[in-house]
Amino acid sequence: MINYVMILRIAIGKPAPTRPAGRPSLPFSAFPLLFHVRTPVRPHMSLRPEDVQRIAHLARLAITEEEAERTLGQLNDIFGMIERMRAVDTEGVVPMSHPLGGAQRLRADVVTDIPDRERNLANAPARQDGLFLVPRVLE
Amino acid sequence: MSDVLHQMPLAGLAKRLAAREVSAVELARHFLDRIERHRGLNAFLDIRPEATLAQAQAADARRSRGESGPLLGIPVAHKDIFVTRDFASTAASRMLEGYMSPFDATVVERLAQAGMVTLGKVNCDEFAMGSSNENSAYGAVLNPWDTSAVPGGSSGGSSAAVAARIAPVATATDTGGSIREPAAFCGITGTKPTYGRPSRWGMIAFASSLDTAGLMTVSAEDAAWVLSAMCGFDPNDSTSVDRPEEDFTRDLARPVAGLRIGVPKEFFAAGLQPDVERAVRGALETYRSMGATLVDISLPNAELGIPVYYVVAPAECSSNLSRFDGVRYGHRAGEYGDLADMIKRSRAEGFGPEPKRRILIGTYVLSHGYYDAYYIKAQQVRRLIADEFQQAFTRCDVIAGPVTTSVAFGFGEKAADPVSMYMSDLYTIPGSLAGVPSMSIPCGFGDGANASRPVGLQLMSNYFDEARLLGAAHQYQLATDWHRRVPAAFAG
Repeated sequence: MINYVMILRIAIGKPAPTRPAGRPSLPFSAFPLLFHVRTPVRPHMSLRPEDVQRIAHLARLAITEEEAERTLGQLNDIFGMIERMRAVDTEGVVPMSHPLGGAQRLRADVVTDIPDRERNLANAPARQDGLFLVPRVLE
Repeated sequence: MSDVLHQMPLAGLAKRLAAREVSAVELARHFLDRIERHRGLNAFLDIRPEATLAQAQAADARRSRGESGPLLGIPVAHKDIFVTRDFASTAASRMLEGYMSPFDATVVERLAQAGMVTLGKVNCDEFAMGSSNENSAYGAVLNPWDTSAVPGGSSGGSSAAVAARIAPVATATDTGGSIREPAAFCGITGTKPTYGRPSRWGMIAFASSLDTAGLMTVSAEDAAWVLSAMCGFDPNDSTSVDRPEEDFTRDLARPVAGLRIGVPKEFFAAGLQPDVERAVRGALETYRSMGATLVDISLPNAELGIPVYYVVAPAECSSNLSRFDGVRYGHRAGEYGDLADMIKRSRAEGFGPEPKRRILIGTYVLSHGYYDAYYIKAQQVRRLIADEFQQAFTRCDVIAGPVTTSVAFGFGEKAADPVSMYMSDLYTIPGSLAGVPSMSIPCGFGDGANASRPVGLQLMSNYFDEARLLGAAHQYQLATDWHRRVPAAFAG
């Protein structure tokens, strides 16, 4: 039933919900409702120390064993608190990505300002010959 | 004469400036002196008197050329979340220590165009993440009313500066309550307009679908003047609302007789401290005696605001904060191996515990297999909450209730327990998720040991109804003097 409502929304031209700025699109993001696969709600499993290390790696954060240990309890408390939300019936509710809805505005693909190279480079931790300097990535 | 300048409403200062009884330079000096005298509050992170006085001289020069305007020459302090060309912009993080922006945030630029003079940058929780200001990498701000109490957060420097009258106005930002909670704790007026009204361009991003610029002022009238200059369409912000600019002072004189005030029963449930409830109910009674009608309403899903927020905000935070990689700007670790190691160590050293915690939560809820169960689910419940506001606004014009469950708490009381800290935003998060305009205005003080800690009344209106919201707040402030109270140590 729910999918019919969603398909109808697309058929009548209602805009698909947009993703927040900065979030990379996932596959099928142009038709998120048609291809939406519902993940069964399962109770949150407590995180283990190795999960924290894995998430920290995904987030590109170096984390010590001791930090991971300390963070583990806090994250489990927070996910315990979040659990209440997952019990709500949201069948057919269109996700709200922006308080005022609507698609994100696009602008013309033209140069709009002249970057101040010196001011931009002035904040770089390391620079050379007018360029940002990073460790060697190719041998 | 000048000893009362910091006690005057903006309209009074504007009058003095227009009559040439005081210059913008004299006014800036007056506040710079006060900032210097009260450095112990730790409200300011960057002060550059030469930059401030140059802006003041420019304002005086504009007046000499015949320009006028209600904000020409009025000083303002900017939350360190807004980037500024003339002052360092750190987001109160080690990550951005000493960062000098190549440009001004749109909010900063608009206020400068109106003639406002920047006093400096004010402290806040790191990347605006916190409810007590204890997460600043540069030390917490003290609450001017009681220096053993937190000033609230994240805009704690903004609220403390205005409460201590060391700045007549301060900009602030609100993602889940970061304007209203510190305004309540410091006994001043905090205003968060409709999401999308003020530009987010140049506001260091935390959670893009929630981040809203706003103001800390002494009164609703002051807020209306500054908000009128601050808001407007900005093509540089993809979620900026394309609407004509408005004069938010237009309904200040409108009586509240006939105003329908919705009182959500969920905001008076278990957990609300008796002294806060007493002060808030007293304010509602004042409105009733002025001719407003109190309407019982319900926001049944509002209590789910906190879990929803702690999925949505960290998810967007983890995405936004991925730009800090130690390459183009920001902290870079002293020792590292390859590029990936450099990025990991730079982020580990540059971010404090709260941003790290939120990056981890956000990364997890967006990771493969959890995206639907957490992020999409949270966005669905967010819509249920927003829809309840729309239902409520068919029966009332504004919604009123407490801002917080208690008056300001003490330093260290909640710092070790993130979940109890997160609960500080129980009543402010629903309005943030819906994106509706919302304010905190002072309405009394706590009981007993908390007799010097202020209580805030929260007022919310429907989208784009800021003028009426500010009018309702102003009418209350005409009938009461809570907003005019100044902590004794900062009055003179």
